[in-house]
Amino acid sequence: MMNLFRTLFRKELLDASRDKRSVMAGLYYALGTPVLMCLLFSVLLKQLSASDELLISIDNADAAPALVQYLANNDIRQGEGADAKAIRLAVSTDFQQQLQQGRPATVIIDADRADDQLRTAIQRLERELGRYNSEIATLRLMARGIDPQLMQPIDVQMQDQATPDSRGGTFLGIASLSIILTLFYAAMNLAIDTSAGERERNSLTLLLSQPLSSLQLVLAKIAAIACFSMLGLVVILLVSKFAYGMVPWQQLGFNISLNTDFMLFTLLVGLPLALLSASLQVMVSFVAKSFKEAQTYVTMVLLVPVALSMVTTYNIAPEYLQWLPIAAQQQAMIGFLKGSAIAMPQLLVSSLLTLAIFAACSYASSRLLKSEKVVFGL
Amino acid sequence: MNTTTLKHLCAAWPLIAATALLMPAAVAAQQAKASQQAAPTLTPCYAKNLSDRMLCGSIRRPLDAAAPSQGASIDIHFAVLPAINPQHKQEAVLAFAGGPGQSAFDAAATFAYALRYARESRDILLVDQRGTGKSGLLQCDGLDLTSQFALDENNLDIVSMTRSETELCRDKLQVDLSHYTTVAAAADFEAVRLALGYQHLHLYGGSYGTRMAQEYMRQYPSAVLTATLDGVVPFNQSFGAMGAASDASLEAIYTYCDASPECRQQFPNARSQLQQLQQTLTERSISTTVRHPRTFELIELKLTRAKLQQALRFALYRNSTRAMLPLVIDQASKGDYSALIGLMLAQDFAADLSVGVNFAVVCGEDRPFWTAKSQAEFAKSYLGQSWLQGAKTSCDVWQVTPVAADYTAPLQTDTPVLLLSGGLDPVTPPGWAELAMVKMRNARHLVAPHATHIVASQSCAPKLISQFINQQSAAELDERCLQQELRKAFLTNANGTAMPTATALAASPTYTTISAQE
Amino acid sequence: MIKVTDLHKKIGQVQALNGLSFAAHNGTITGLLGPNGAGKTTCLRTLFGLLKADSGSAEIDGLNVVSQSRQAKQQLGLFPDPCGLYERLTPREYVQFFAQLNGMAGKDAKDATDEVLSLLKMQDIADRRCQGFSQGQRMKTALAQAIVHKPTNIVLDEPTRGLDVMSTRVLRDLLLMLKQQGHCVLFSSHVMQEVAALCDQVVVIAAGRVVAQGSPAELCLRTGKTNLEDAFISLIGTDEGIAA
Repeated sequence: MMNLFRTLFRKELLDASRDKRSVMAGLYYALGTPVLMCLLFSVLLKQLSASDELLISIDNADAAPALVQYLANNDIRQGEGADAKAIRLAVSTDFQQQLQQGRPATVIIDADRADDQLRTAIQRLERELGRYNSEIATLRLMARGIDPQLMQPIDVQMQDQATPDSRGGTFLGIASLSIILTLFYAAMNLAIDTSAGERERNSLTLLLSQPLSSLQLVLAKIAAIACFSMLGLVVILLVSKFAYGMVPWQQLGFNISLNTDFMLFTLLVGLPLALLSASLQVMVSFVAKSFKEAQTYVTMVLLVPVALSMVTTYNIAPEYLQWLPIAAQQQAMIGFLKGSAIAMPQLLVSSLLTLAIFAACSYASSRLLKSEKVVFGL
Repeated sequence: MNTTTLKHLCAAWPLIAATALLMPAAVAAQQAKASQQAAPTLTPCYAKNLSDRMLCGSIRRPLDAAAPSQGASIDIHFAVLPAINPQHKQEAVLAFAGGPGQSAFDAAATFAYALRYARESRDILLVDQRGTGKSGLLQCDGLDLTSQFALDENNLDIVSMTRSETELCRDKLQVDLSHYTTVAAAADFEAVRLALGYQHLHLYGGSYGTRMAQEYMRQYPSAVLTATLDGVVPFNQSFGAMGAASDASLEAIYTYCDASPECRQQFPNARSQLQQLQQTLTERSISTTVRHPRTFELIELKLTRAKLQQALRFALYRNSTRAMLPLVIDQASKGDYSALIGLMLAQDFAADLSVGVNFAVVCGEDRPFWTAKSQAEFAKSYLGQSWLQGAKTSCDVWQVTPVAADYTAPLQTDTPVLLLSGGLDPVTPPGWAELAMVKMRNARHLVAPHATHIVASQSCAPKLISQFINQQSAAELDERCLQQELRKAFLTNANGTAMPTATALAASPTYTTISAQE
Repeated sequence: MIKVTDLHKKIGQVQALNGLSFAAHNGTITGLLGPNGAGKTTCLRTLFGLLKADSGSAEIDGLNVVSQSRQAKQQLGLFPDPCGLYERLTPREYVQFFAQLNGMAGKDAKDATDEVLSLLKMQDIADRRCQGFSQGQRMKTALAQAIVHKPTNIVLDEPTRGLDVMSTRVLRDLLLMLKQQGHCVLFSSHVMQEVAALCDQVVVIAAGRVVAQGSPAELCLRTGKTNLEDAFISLIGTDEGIAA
């Protein structure tokens, strides 16, 4: 039994490894995605992070020199040109009088809040204006012999459970999504080739005529594909470690670092997924009547893991989804990266589910190979 | 740390020395055998006004380093503010708090701000110096505000009052302060470093923390890669000299007022108003009834020179309160003390300082080196004189063993050192940094001319500090950004600042209309 | 020894096998002759266990191909049509793989592979990948695969299709040699000459059943024709689908 499996597995591995096009197609994903992500994140971060200096236009600045100086000391300045943001701060003409009389002096922030590129800058401006407000108010109360702390009936102290590693949020989601999907994309071409392809090349019937069970054959194929999925996983982890290391996360006060422990953890939770991925895609390819049809079906089926991963990434998954394969594993990876507690029950259940689906798909494939229709593509 | 650091340099200041020493808030040392150090357990923890999660732990240290196996021990508590992207896991930035007697843990938010760029790649390590914060705080409670206001310092025997209050505190605390000097505390920091496994440290000290940093460098030179000293307290300078610094810092306000047209116009006699008020209050106390700043109840105020000086002293720490001063004095001269009470609130900040550590440092490391000449020098200023008097009286009670005679030798080092001073600093003026660096062979002193005490809290210094730590050299630093104007426009009424054109506007129809409505 | 008994198989609407029975004996070459669509391939696929007969049975050396499929298959060497090569493997890897599939252990499989490769004079192409092989090279590789594990029975599905003269001769020699060694050789063909030249026994199939069985000479005798081709046409009643 085992010898036969080993023989089949070795042949599948050898055959697949010589299928340079399919292997590389899978590895291109593993190699390219982190690099693309790295570029994407860097661009995003640049927009998100409050750069040191915020240039805005200030109307009637002469009316409020103290305010303008306060903003300048916090690196918000009047400026023009390409670096200046489309934010206009208009100081009312009666600013100083109003201030002197203890009435609110109006300043207008003129900007488009729906513009994602401006949002952080607007918030920063609002925050600094708020601080200026409280500084002036503090002085006003002190000048009247009143403790400024009276303005603060409750002292809200935030204790943030986040660690520098756990703040990445969506970024972590996207990074882990790209890592998990490797297991599927690295396997795709090989899975189709070894099933629909093998049938189209007529070697499938010859194999099935040999003294072996179709389950052995299917398992050997799945194991070989899973190996390449895992190879893809190793590659994307290594490349990600390197690529994400170059993204200036710390500017946003968090960090995404893929350490060795995370890699080992990911390989461990990824293994059942690799088996699921391979068995699912092999099954779908066998159901398809031709190579081309298999490509179409597999592409469609892959939308399911992508969808599961997406809802996890954007944290819009309903509770029950967190027990499902892919979602739970990804959640665990994110948890691991964040350094927060990993939901073990979910991870265990979903890993068992993953293995169950793998078993079901493998069995189904082996049944398919007993069907004349499937074997001869009728 | 902004305004609060070093405030207890004046712990022997009459007002506080006479009133601050009532109840011991914590028992200093725990009676326990110093046990073998295992790796400390770290648990998540938080500090005030800092939402970031830190990791806290403690190690047990013998109270008396000379006899470690017997006697009392003390748990030294520390917190690690983890690096955002720990590229240098073997290094940490160790931050020393001021005081003497401030808790580094309490100042965590200030350190997190000052070291926010340095933290991008290195952990920030905060250690509560023995006798402060969580490491066996040595504190005696002070008077409440109502009682303080009612105190008439002009008609009290300050010396005997200070002595009796100090004795009371000594009896409650029951510790030998000789174990709480800068010299004695340095080994605790080293023990924490070893326990946490950092190979090297970058030091950041603010105010008195700069002296602690220098002492640490003196004892453990090989552990230190760089040191940033912000608001420098040299070994070869007595705290008594801060009276002169305070006077100079106050004088700068009036110079600035003279130079600014709206201030000069609003307060043409600002200087003489202050002198007149000081003179009056020296001669007699003014009794009046005022509103309690929080309860709004009518309470009694005995306004004295001591209270005025105290209020001025704390007002000097911040540019925002500095901008109030001419208005405060103007109103007080006219019999309206509301604004002055506002300034007096600053002393509330002093609550959590360690009285014990403060006296350990003052009596063990400062007083032994006074000379007749230096005392005469200190006595030239009101602050220096009253500090001398208080310190003398208190130290007689505490009986702290003096540190070795070579303590006052300036630190000699090749380690890169960045010294930062604020030109308006009322406690550690730029000249002190110059004194500290005479034997430093790899040092650079940068002055932010308009900054007050602790430059990193008010300027672009956090960036420079990070750059200095990364490059391990101060040579490349571009200090131009430190020149920025930090002073605020003077308050010309209780609502805000005047404009050069304020009078013109005041005459405008709009203004008249509004006034008419009121 | 291969024996099929009363095989029935319906594929779609077509009754592909309709009570097919025959036996092929050891030491003989048996030709399965029939026009296109007569049921030859269906018969062979049933023999390999790829198709399940609706009724009837197939046995190899007395082993039922359904109930004792593994043992039965081990006694069977298979030369499929088309060859079913792995383009990315070399003949050596390919042949050795099938040797192992048929239960030969590592060393034995290797030796057997060497042996069969030299027997077929394939040393020059043994370590080239099959991609780009000529039809003759493909045929040889497939044949090597079929006989590497030394099965008693060798089944060839249209083995001469697309072969040049030289290759055909090699194949012929080989089949004769196998016969000499006592193997049971069964091959399907619709090429008359081939069958006439090689077969000891011919099974003529039409519409899923055996219409005649015997040596070429016997068939000629029975139909009163002088050559097999005429005999064949006479037997199935048409010359459609037969190549001369």
